[in-house]
Amino acid sequence: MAEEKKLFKVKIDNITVEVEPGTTILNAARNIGGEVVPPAMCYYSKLQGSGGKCRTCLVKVTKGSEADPRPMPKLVASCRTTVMDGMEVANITSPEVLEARKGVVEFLLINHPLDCPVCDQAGECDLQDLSYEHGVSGTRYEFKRRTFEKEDIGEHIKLHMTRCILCYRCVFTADQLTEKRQHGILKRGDASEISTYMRASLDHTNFIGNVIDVCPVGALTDRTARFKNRVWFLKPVDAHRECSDPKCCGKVALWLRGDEIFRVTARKDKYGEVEGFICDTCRFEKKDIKDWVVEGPRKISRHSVITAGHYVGVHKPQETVVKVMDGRQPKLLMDIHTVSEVNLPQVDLSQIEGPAHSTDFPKNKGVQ
Amino acid sequence: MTYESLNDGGFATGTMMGSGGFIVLDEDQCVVRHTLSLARFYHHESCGQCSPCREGTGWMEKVLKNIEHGKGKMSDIDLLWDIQRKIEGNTICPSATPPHGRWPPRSVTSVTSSNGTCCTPTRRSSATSAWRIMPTRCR
Repeated sequence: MAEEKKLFKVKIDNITVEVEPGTTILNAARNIGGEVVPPAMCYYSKLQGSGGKCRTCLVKVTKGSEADPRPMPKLVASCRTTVMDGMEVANITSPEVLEARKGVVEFLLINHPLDCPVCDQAGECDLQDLSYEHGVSGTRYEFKRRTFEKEDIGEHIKLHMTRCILCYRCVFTADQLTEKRQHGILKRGDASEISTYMRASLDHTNFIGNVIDVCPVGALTDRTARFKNRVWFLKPVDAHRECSDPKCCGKVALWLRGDEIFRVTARKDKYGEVEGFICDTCRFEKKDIKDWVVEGPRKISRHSVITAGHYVGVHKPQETVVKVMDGRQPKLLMDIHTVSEVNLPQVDLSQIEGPAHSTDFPKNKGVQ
Repeated sequence: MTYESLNDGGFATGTMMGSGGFIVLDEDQCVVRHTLSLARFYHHESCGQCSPCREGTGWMEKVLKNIEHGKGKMSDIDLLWDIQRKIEGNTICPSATPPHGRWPPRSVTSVTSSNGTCCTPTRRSSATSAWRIMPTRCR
């Protein structure tokens, strides 16, 4: 008889959750949801081996496990640390963690150009959200920032290495979704950069466009959509099509203005991760609304700037006043024209030449 | 001095013995320059995988370079301490863990702290063009 699978009991910020053995602390926290979820810039649940690089998800393990209750000596990366039974973790309840996270955000930003006003990722950028939520407003860095030349890697992708935070997500994407990876990290230390050695183009495969979606910053952008529009002016809708590529899920988010498709991306969940990878044909070539079956508007977190101007959840009343009042007309308690001279019904403002003047409104007319 | 006497992770003394190697400097040596040399080494050695070390070691080197060139500020000492505190223990590699002692920023800041009073930008000795250790002030 198969032994019943034992669940591990973990306490994160004093909230207990039961997870399967082998789950990481980050995923256990995502099971709880809400504010106890540590931010993650490099971890991507759909990419094997990702995580551990950015150190924004550091948490404090105050109790190792039931068997060995000693705390861990230093902060651990929650995306790469698996839970133990009886483990107790402090995330937002630990000032030490918050301080360390502040430091990491500062480190990530000292060589970031902060060119959000001209960056295509602005509005849906993980680093923007992270620094807003966990960073400090000023910088203490007063030296020249690291810069690189912009580079076209392939027909559809622009690499803006200056903005890169070296999360390695795009490297894992190319490794795991495409047949052959042609880009990677060159050099080391703070000179390391994402590059295609010898400036090769990345058009060799039908799935390389996904590096744009996994990029947490604006380092990899879609050349077919660059500078066309800001994300908050576009309306994301869910759509799908029958894609001939078996690996492509065909379920996308279209970024529309009217019936014009500005951009096609995969659907991203609340942690900024795609729900399913899509192929380059869907992403770059199907820019006609007739190619797609539109399912409906995409739900965006109301805290996101993308929702600006989209009134989600506005309910118009079904009944009219007359219907509510059983057919009676509403009765006015007072006619404004009995006490005021302004905007009398007989004075048509559009007929008055030039600006309206007090002489246009006869004195004491209407006032008893 | 024994390993045990400094075995508290450097909390009481603010320093550690590392792998047991020593660099002995006499009082004519420039502390900042030697510290800069260490910082440059650790900046160069950083593998670049995780962000605190990749960005922080280079930053420390630049700050120390400023001090070395007479452009330092009093706040730079606190800044160096703070950068060190934020790199320490937050990185991937075990060499960044205090007990192992091969810890770049700690070795940098323990120098500036023990000699903080004489390494300030106003104490530059014009004769030797070096930051001097002044035993009376550093005790």
